[in-house]
Amino acid sequence: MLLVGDAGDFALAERSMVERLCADALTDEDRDALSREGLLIDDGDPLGRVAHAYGVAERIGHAGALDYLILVPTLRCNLSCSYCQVSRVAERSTGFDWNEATLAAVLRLIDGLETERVKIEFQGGEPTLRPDLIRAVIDRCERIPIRQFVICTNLQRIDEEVLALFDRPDVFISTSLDGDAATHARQRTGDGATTDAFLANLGFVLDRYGPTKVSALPTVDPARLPDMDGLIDSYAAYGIDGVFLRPINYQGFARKRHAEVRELDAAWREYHAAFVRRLIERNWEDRSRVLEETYFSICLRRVFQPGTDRHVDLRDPNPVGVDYVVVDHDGRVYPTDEARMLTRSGVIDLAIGDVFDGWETEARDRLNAHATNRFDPTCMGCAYQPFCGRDLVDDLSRYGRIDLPRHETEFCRRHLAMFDLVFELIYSADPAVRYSLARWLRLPGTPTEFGVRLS
Amino acid sequence: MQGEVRVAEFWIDIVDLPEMAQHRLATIDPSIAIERVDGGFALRSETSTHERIEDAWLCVMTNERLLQANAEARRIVLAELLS
Repeated sequence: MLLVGDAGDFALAERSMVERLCADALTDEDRDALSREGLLIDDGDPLGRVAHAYGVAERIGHAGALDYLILVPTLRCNLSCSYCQVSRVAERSTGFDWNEATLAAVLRLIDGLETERVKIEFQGGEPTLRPDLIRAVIDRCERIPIRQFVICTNLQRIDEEVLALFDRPDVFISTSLDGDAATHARQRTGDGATTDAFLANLGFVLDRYGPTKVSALPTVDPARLPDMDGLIDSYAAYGIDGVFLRPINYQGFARKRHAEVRELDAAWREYHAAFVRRLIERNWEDRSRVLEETYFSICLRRVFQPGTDRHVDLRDPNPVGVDYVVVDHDGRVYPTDEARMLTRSGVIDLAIGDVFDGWETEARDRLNAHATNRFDPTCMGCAYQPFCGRDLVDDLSRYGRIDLPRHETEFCRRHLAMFDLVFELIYSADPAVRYSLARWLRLPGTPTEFGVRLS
Repeated sequence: MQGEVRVAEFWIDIVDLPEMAQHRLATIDPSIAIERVDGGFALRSETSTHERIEDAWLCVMTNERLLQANAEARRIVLAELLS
């Protein structure tokens, strides 16, 4: 049985020891073993108490100054995917791009950033329909020493102006690849010619820049789970080693057309676990490259590397509108991209302000009062609490409320299954498993064990 | 041919099962259903074994004891860190 402390220390204990723990009848040997693993602090051990408090502190996320912007310069898009993660309008629509006042306000926002580094993600719609707006933002960031720009694009068209943006060393490309050409056409582009154009452009940017500058992720329909090797091969063929297995998001337009995905079922979780195991097998068979499922790696790193907090879908506390915000095409500011989708779908207005007047509003503070799992009665008894997080917008999206008992939420069920798998693999004796875990943790070697066993 | 469903069962002879304990049990093993029976409760599952249900119950009881025993110390640490 797994024992976990508030600081994230953990060990696997024999049933007999847990029985003694339950009966408050630990032996001296038990106490020594638990102390060694940081799971028990004696009353007369002030250093141990400080170390424990430090460990807990490391597990508490710290949202710093605003340094991550998701910008939506246009809502227009040249594709119309059935499960569009974000809301979009037709390419020829008018009134869905930043106007001059909005651009000016965004540039003022950038001028006011008080950080040494900034990450800006351009979302849409299809942001490359307005390369001029992207360039204006990038140019304005010149004074900030460390800059990273991610253009999230469907790569359907690359003209000279867009290519000039891609050529910048501080610009990265993020796109969607749903699997083989037939799957991508069925789910996304709608026809072979459009798919061919995308695949040609994907090949082009990968040839030109290499896979470190280009990332892709699939949107997977849980009702039609794709062949694992086929999906992995479609990525591996382009030299992309990371696959972020992303189910259709129950937000945005997908909410209307794919209502069945409100609850991901056991089949999805089994598929995800099998996918991770398949990657482990392939990594062991061919050690010239390391394939990984990105979200599993994020969860794994949260166990071993406290402070892995920049994946804003999984951290705790997870306050909104502090270190990152989304600025929509009309200047309204949202706590997350999902919140923008929900608002656009007419479910609930989750805007926390706008780029003209700011977003330090009562609405934001009301949300943030519940942005932690620390005091949630269910989470407080969960072994995975130190590694897990809170996602208010996800709860609002699915249930319209944030006060359901945690274990009744999709967020909880998904992460329980995820961390069950993480710890199952941590305690696996299979050398192939240990090899992949070490690579996913970016370790130079492979430890003989990842977790302690107490007898 | 009709498949046979095997239900593993574990009886606990306590008078009251707090709601929070039921939540914890659901968290540890969502397949376990709880039913009041004469003199206590029956924990049943169609997918877990008797041993696993027993383990889950032990986890719940251990959790409850530790949460109560450590509540004040935990509160102090968190209050200091979050203040």
